[in-house]
Amino acid sequence: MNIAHEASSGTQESGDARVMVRPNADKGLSVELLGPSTARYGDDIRAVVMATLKSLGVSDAVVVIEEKGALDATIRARLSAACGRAADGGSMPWEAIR
Amino acid sequence: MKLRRSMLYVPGNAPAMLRDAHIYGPDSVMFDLEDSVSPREKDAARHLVFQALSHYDYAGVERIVRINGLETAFGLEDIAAVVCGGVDAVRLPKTDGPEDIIAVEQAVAAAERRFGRPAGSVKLVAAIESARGILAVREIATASPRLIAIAIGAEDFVTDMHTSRSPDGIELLAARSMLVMAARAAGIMAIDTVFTAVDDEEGFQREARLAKQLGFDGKSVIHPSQIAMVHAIYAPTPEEVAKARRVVAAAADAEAKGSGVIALDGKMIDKPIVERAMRVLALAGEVDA
Repeated sequence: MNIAHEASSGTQESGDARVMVRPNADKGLSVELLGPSTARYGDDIRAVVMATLKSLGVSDAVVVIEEKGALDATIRARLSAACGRAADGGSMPWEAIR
Repeated sequence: MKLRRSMLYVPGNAPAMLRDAHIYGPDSVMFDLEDSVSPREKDAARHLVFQALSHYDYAGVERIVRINGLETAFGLEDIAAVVCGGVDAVRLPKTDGPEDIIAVEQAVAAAERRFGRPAGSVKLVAAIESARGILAVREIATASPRLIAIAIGAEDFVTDMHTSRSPDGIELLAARSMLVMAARAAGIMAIDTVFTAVDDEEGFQREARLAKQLGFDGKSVIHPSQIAMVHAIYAPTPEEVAKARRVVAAAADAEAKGSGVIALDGKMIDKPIVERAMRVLALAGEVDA
């Protein structure tokens, strides 16, 4: 999946996450985490983000996640939706992101 | 007999509600991708529901997803996502005829093949929300072996009928009756419409009692507080349970003796009475639902 332009998904409500993705001019993946759980669970959230990007086939992107106590499934959903919006066409590989 | 006394609507774009939907004890949860989700959030809700189906443990509560119709830009992708996610049943909105069921069935079958799910494992529920749909309800109810229930959606129906909902529901009487009859004739379940005034407990109970009396198997609910009320209405009384136990025991006794005649307290018992007694025990949780 190619990140062609900036897009976002999610809200700042409790239990949710706001995810923004945009093309990375420097290539590769850059992930920035913001939010109350970042200090304690940052490594876990980062692992979820990296695994989801891999299963989506995203190799170049800047990802900013502002989470408000979101569970892993919510972060995966918000990130997948943001990537789907940022990509130019193509179908969602549901079996890969299950 | 699986019980479907309560189907709890959960908006598909509400992460916290998706996670907690089953803890209020509904017989089924129904994640909604249709009317409760704005067009620009359809994709995001689909992802949330997909992840919820794939990763949350709903403790055996049946998981149904109301998809967008196949005539929209969202319906086909909704089916792919929820079948891949492991949904138990897909609910079609605005079913006007058997062709709507057949189109969804074909899409669901294709998704089962694509994602390696057993053929026929995803069930269907059809919501009927128009005069045309009610007049075709018999053909709809028998359109697919996947159909487990048909439901009436009252808000769209009364609009189509140029009327509005009233406390006694007279405007829905013919439609409800036709729908239940078609369900019974097809051997599937009938589910009543939602009651949207969540603070009006008396009104909700009145409507749920009417639906039960007409023969509906359950009701779609929009608030957790409505679950206990509808279950209480469907719960048999201790006297009904005691009598049902005796009827079932007498039937078992007759069968053990190889007798075709079932008798209890000097009266002959017909097969429909035994069937009704089994249903009472299922509603009381005494036999497998």
